[in-house]
Parts: sequence; C-alpha cells; structure tokens
Amino acid sequence: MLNQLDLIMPLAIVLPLFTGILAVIVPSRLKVIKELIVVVTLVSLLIGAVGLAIAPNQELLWGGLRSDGLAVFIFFFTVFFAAVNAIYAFGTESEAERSNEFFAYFLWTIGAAAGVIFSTNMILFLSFWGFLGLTLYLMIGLAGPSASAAAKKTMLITGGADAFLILGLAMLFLLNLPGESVDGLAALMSNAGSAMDLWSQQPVSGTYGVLAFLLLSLTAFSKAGALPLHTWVPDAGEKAKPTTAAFLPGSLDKLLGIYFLYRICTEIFSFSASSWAVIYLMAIGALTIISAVMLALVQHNIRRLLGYHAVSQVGYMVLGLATLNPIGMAGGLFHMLNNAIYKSALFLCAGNVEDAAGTGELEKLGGLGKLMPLTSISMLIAALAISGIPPLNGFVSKWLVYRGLIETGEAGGALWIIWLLAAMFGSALTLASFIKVMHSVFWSTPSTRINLEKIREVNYFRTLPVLILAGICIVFGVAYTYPLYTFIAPAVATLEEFVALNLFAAWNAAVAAALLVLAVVAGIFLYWLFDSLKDLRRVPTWVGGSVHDPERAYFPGTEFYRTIDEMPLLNKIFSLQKKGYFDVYELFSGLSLSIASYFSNSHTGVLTTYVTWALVGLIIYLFVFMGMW
Amino acid sequence: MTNLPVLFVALPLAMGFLYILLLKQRPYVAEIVSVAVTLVLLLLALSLAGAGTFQDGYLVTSFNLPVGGWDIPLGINIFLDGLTVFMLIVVNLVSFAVILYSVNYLQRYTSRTYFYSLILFMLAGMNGMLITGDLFNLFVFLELASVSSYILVSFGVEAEELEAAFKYLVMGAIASALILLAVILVYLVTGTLNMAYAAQFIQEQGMNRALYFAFALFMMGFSLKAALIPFHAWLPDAHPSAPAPISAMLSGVVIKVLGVYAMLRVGFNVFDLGADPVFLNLLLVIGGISMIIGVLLALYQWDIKRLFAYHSISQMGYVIMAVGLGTSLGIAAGLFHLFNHAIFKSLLFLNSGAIEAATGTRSLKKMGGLAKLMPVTGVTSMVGSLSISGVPPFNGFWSKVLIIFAAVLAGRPVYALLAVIGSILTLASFMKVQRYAFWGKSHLSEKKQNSNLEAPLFMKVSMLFLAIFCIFLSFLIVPVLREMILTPAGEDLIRGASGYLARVGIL
Repeated sequence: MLNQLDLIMPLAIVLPLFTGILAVIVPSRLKVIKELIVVVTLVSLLIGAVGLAIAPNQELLWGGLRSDGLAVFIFFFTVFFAAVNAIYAFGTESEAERSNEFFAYFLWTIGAAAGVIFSTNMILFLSFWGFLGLTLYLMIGLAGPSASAAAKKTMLITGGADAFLILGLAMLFLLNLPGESVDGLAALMSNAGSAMDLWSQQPVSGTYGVLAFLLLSLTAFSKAGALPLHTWVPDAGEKAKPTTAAFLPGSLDKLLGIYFLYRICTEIFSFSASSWAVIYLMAIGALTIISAVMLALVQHNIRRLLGYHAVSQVGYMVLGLATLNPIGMAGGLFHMLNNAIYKSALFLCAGNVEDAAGTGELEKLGGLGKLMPLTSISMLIAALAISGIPPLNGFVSKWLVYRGLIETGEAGGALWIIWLLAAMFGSALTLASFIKVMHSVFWSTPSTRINLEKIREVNYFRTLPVLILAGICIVFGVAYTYPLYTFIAPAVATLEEFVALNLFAAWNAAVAAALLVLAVVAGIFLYWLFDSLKDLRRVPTWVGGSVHDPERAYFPGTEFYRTIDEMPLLNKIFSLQKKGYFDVYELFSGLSLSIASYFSNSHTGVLTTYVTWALVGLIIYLFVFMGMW
Repeated sequence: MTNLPVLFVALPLAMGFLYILLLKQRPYVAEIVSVAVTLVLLLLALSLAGAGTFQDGYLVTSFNLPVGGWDIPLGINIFLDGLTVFMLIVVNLVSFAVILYSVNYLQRYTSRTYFYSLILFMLAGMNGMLITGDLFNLFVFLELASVSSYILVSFGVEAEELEAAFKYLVMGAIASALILLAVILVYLVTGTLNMAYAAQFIQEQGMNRALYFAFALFMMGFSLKAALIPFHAWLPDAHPSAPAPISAMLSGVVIKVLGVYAMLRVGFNVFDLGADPVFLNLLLVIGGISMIIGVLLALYQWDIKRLFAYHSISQMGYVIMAVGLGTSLGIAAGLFHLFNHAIFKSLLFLNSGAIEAATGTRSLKKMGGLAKLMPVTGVTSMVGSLSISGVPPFNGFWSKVLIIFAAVLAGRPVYALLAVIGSILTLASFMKVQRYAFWGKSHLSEKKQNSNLEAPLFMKVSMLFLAIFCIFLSFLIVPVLREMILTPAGEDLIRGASGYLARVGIL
C-alpha cells in the first residue's frame, strides 16, 4: 500500500538536483525567475515531507531508499533551514555577481542531503555524501579569493574523510558477506539489495568491525565538526558568506553529521552501553565541548568565534547519542535541532552586523545595540539559548543530555561524572564567551573605529529569518513537549514509551518562564530606578588637564578576555594551537610535504642517476622472476 | 567490415607520409584531414564495441585477420578482442580531442605539417600495438610510437625541450633494446613470434629459465614506458616540456598503451601469469609504490604541468595495483581507472596548455583568479581536478570506489589504505591547483587581468568534449555499457593464455 508515497523519496532527491541545473541556465538578470525556482522547489519538498510523515515509522522501500520517523524529521528540517536561508539569500545573494552559481549549489545541496537521508545502499550513500562535500566546497568558494584557503581546507578534510568512508564501507560490505566471494563487477553491483545494505547492525568487534566503526564515525565527525576533524568549521564560518556559513556548517552539516552518527550507533552497528565504543564517543564529545569553547573564548572575529561554538555544541550531541538510552538520545537529537536553529540565527545576525558595519572584528565594533535593534534582540535570544539559559530551547536539550548521562551512571557506567562535569563546565564557558560578543558588538560604548552614523538596521529579508529563528528558540523552550513529541519521539521510540519516560519530572517550563520574566522586569525596573535617582553626568575622560584621546579611552569587550589568553598553562597551549599543532590538516600537510621534499630533492635531473635507478629496478625484476623458477 | 580494422594503422600511417610529401606549405589542410581521420577512427572503434556477440552475459569480440593472405604462424595477424577494442576506444577518443585542440593551439608553432604527420605516426604506432597479434610487430609499432614521441617532445626546440627529449630518448632506447632482446629470446625458445603460438608453446611446455629472463626484460621495458617507479624519472621532464597536446597524448594514452597494455597483454595472455602470486605481488608492490611516491612528488610541485606529470605516475600506480589484485573485480576496476585517467589527465593537460598560452607561465605562484578570466578553462579544469581526486559524480570517483572495494574484498586492506591515502594526497594537490590558479588572488599583470584570456573556439570545444566524458564515463558501470566495453576487456585478461588461444582460434 501507499505506493505513491514511495515516489516521494526519489523525487525529493531528483527535483532539487534538476532545478539546480535550471538555476544555472536562467540568465542572471531574471532574478525573479531564480527566486521562483527556489520557492517552488522548497514548497514541493515541504509537501513531500508532509506526505512522508503521513506514514510515520513505516519503512518505504524503493531500491536503496528507506524512510522512517528519524529520516522524515531530518528531511523536514533540512527543507525548513533551506527555506529560512533562502529568504535571507533573496536579500543578499540575488543581487550578487555569482547568484546563479549560489542558487544552483544551494539546490544541489538540498538534493544531495535528501539522498544522504534516505539512502541505505552503500554506493548511493557514498555518492550523495561525497557530492555534499563538493557543494560545500563550491559554496565556500563563492566568497571570493579570500575564502580560497578555507575552501581548500574544507574540501581536503571532508573529502579526505570521504575516502576513509569508502574504506570503512568496503570493510562493512565484507562483513555483510558471510562466506561468499564477490567475483567481478556485475556480482558487486547485483549485491545492491543485500550486502550493500547499510543497516546491517554489525557488532563493533573483530578487526574489520572495529576499523569500519572508527572510519564511519570519523566521517560523521568531519561533517558535524567534532574533534579531531573539526578545524574546517571555524575557517569556513569566518571566510564563507554568511548565508553559506549559516546553512552548511551552521545547520545542515550538523543535521546530517549527527544523523549519520545516530545511524552508526543504532542501525549500521549495534553495541551495548558497556562497549568500548561508548567510552570512545563520550571522550570525543567531552573533549570537543571543552577544547572548542576554550578557543571560542579567545577569538576576535565574530564569525570565527561562532565557528568554534559550532564545534563545541557538537560535543553535547555526541554525548547525548552515546548514552544509548532514550532520554539521552532524544536530548542529543533535540540539541542537534536546537543548535541548528540558534546557530544559524547567530551566523545570520553576525552577517547582518558585518554587512552594516563593514567588519566582523570585535575590537572595531561597539554600541550597535540601538542602531540595529532587531538584529540585537534576535542575537541576544540566540546567545542565551546556546548558553543553555532557561526557558529557551538550548536549556531543554542540554537538560535531557545531562539526564541521559546521569542515567548511564545509574545503569552502572563509571565515567559519567567526568562527562557530565565537562558538559556543564562547557555550558558556563559558552555563556562567558557570548557575554563577550554581546558586549563587544551591541552594548559597549559606541565604537570610534567605525563610522557609526552610516549604520542602519538591515532590510526585512535579512531580519525576518533571524526573528523567525529567535522566535522558535523561545517556542521550543517553553512548549518543549511539542517538538519532542512531534519530531523526536518517532525517531527514538514510540510516543507512549517516550511520554512514559517522564522527561521533566520536576520541571515546569511555564512557571519557570513566568518567574524569569518577572525577574527580568524587576531588574529593568531597578536599573531605571537607580538611574533616575542618581544624578548621573557623562563627560569625556580627562588626563592631565587635556581630553583623553577617544581611541585610547575606548575599551572593547575583547580586552576583558585577555586574561584567559595569558593564563600560565593556557598561553602555551594557545600558542601551539595557533601554530597548527592540534590541527589534523596542518599536521598531515606538514608531514607529507617534508616527505615529498626528500623525494623531490633526489630528482636532480642528472641522466646517469635516472638510468641507474632503472637498472636497479631491472636487477630487482631479474631477482624476482629468476627466483620464481 | 572484416578488413576495416586495418584502417587503424593504415589510415594515419598513409596520411602521415602524404602530409610530408604534399602539404608542407599547407598545414591547414593537414589540420582538417587529421581531425577527419581521428574522427573516423573513433567512430570505427566505437562501432567495433557493438560488433561482437553476447556470450556469458557480456560481449565477446574476436577478429582474426591474416595480413596479406599469409596465415599464422607464417604471416602476421591482426587480432582484436575485448581488451583491444576497449583500448582502441580510449586511444582514438583522446587523439580526436587532442587533434581538435591542436588546430588552435599549434598556431604559434612553425612547421605544423610535421607536427600532424608525427602525431599520426604516434597514433598509428599505438593502434598497431593494440591490434597486432605478433610480438615482433608489437615491438616495431612500439618503436614507431616511441620515436615519434621523442621528436614531438622536442618540438619546441628550446634548451629545456631538447634536454628532456634527450633523457627520454636515452631511457626509452634502453627499454626498447631490452624489449627487443626479450622478443629475440622468446623466438629462440619457442620458435615463433606469433603471440598465440608462443602462448601455446608456453602452455604446453611450461616456463623455463630463459622465458623468465625474457619476461623480466619485458617487464622492465614496459615498466619504463609506463613510468612506474623506479623507471619513471624521464617522465616529469618529458611530459611537461612537450607542447600541451602532446603532453595530453603522452600522459593520456602513450604510457598506457606502450606500458600498461603491453605489460598486461604479454603477462596475462602470452606468459599466462595471471594467477601467479609472484607476478601479481610484484604488480601490487610496484603499483603501490608508484601511487604513493608519485603523488607525494606531485604535491611538492609549483609548475602546473610538472605537477600533472607526476600524477600520471601515481595514477598508473593505481591501475597496476588494481590489476595486481588479480581478481576479476580488481582488473575491471583497474581498466576502468585507466580509461578514466586517459580522459581527465588529457583534459587537465589541455587546460594547462590553455593557461600557458594565455598567461605565459606554468608556475602556479604567478597565476590566480583565472576562473573569472577564462570561464570555460576554469570549469573544465575543475571537472578534471574533481575527477582525478575521485569526487562524485565524476568518473574518477567510481573507479576509486571500485579499486578500494576490490582491494578489501581481495583480502588486501593495506593496499586499500594506500589507495585511500593516495587519493587524499591527490585531492590535496588538485585543491592547490584550483586555489592558486583559479580561485586565489591574481598575480597577473594589470593588462592581462583586464583582457580576455579565454582559449579560442576549438580548444574550448575540445576541453568541453573531454569534460562531458568525465561525467558520461560514470555510466560505464551500468549494465549495458559495462557488458559492451568494460567487462569484455577484463574477461579477456583474466582468461589468460587459454582464453586468448580460444579467441584466436587455435587450441
């Protein structure tokens, strides 16, 4: 039954890939047509997502494509984030020089993402996953020559991980073939239905089992941006266009990376909560949270700072998934969704600030709060959400992750207290770094380093998306049962089981929210009271009888965080980090270049040397073949 | 129809001589005729791909024509099987694109007629190697192709070109001499020069010390022509120094036909070593070494053509390693990669020619921002770079996946890992090319930055043609095309000497 619904999955993949080609062909000046193509595509995909959701938890088989509650959830939000970013792009990219390319890559990304979500055939999955890396590279490259280094690094890390993914899948394929041998290309391709199936629930033991698990999880980490393959995220966040940063490293890559990790932990492999794999995942998660947030604290560029947070937050998702209990996994998935919401809001707000002020350097910004009220409010909400302040959505999902971690302790795990502490400590540091951002950009004294007079709030195409996203941060925080029961529950368990978990035993969001609002109102009232009671006077600063140079009297927010940079042990670590000692990309390229230089130097161009090599080769051949007889 | 394969040699050879006799003052006629000749040969090769009969789920081709009416073993036979047809398509496809490209590119050279007659000699030599069923004839055609390529490398007659051609000549001559010695030894032992009869002798009498010696010499000669490490050293000088279309021919097809094809034909079909662990292990080791060291050397280069040339060594390593797995899947993957590499590497060399013609430099450090100034070259070179790096949906991705799967399934995970590392390093060096030549900050002069640097019409058409094939070849693994082109080639190798004898018709 429901055969028509089977067609939705292939259509969801093919339609955006096709309309992407249309977007290339349409002449650049027909801006409306391009936007229409995007709108029509997204609306049809949204209808498709609803169509798939009609049959929740039902597996619709169509070749190597399969959908279930989780897949529908991820697909729905892929389309949702595409739509939000499309609105923003209509305000920014439509006029840009390479808009055709932008919309083509944008649509191809959506099509490839749908392919990744629904494919359960290894070859299909591999090709969509790899293509996604390509569109990411191309989209970062759109920002021009300044982004070329970041694009190269991103492609190398994601593409390199893809190559390892092929190796991992080949091993998985071998595990799926019990005792049979595959002879020839035709046999390999005709195995598509059986051994090519990704969802094979292999154990993580035996050489190939362990290796395949490690390789697949590394690929998921590279996409989501967890340690040790995270280093492209801050670079891309800083250098790419804001739309690209918000859409790919900000939201979609998180959804897909964590989606893949979830599949790895549940359908592709199967292991118990006492397996070594859990400790490995938890350690990666905890390390990711702490190290990335420490780096975020000392950044001076707003989008680079956000990029480090985009890494840090992944740690919570990994921790949540690795608990393997419904609460923790629901928390991980919910955090993935929440993070995508507030992180794309933050990236887009940062884009607004950069566009208005002409710079993203925190030292140069200041006092924009009154000039850009909508952006400022949205950014505040998103910043509070990422810091896990109740009653916003980030709090709810972090709370679930914490509860999941505590539950693993009750089930007999030993290390849970370390992971829990890391997670909570990371949360505090996140708040600290966002106070730095909010202060430096919006609240501090007006900056003297940029021309504030020209700064206005940006247009509605650019404020509407961030307002929507900030609004969802509040809605999902207060009415958290709605997203949890509608989207997350079908993905991890049945609804009845899920409700029975009693997620929030003693937590009542409505009361908490009311109390918080009351506290904020009281605070504002007190501030106003003291402000009006005291007889305040603002004057220029004086030194030795003359007015202080305003440039010297200006204290950007970043100055307050210099202490972290200069702490005894940390300063050593930070200086090593700046030199690239913790960056897999830098280490790998350094190593290969030093080996390459050795080989290269031996090619002197002297003919006799070359002939000697060839003769040595001949002697080896003679030894090999004469020994055969 | 049955006599048509003779045209693969006769047509280019005849035209090559006629050009020198008649067209010295009229190179434009030679251009038109050459394009027509290669187009005819391409169509002929494609038509051969459908001319066999279906057996065992794939297309079996076998033409055996005695030349001049003298039957084998007295005369020389022209013999085509799946592998020959496959290689003929590769060679003539690339030749067509290259000659089309030369129409515009060669305008800055003098004595263009000589160029066209030499490139047709080279083509005749390669086609001859593919269709001959005779060992000595194989050597003659190999020399024809080699000698024309020595001259073509030095076509620019600058100091750099002459030096490179000299090195190529000396090393190539050593290889040719050893191959000739091996042919003599085979004749001495088996009493025949015909490949099928030699194979029959070896099957009946078994290998002996003299034959192993001959085979080692063959291997050395063909490894040098295929530029496998440690026999590779001539290639990074010779390939970049040649004019761009010749670089494309050399890296695209010459090393494959003179090296890989000859090695596999002799090793699998004549000496019947397809299941021999020593031979296969040697292929694995030498392929693995070439793959990794070649790409490391490429990573260090700033000269764009030299970088591409080192990649040819590395990619030949992939092919040889995959074939060395010895499984049907490995051989199919290797041959598929050979076809793919022929297409994208010749495309990349043609791109480099367009860049060099426009900017006057081959150094990546002096380029930059070319994506905007030469859009067609930019897009096609992006396609070529992504193909060679194995990024979907381009052809290189599929052969990379197949090679890695084949290595794991053959129980050789270490070689699969080497292939993965090699592909990451390949990606790294091509990301470098894209960044410094096309995307990054421009280092060109003001005047150049504001002028139209795009290549002329035929160069663009040729590059687009190859770029389309980079996508189209992905379909070579879908059933119908696979059974027509790829599977027959692999099967004819894996069936070894007995399969070859059955095809020729002596048992």
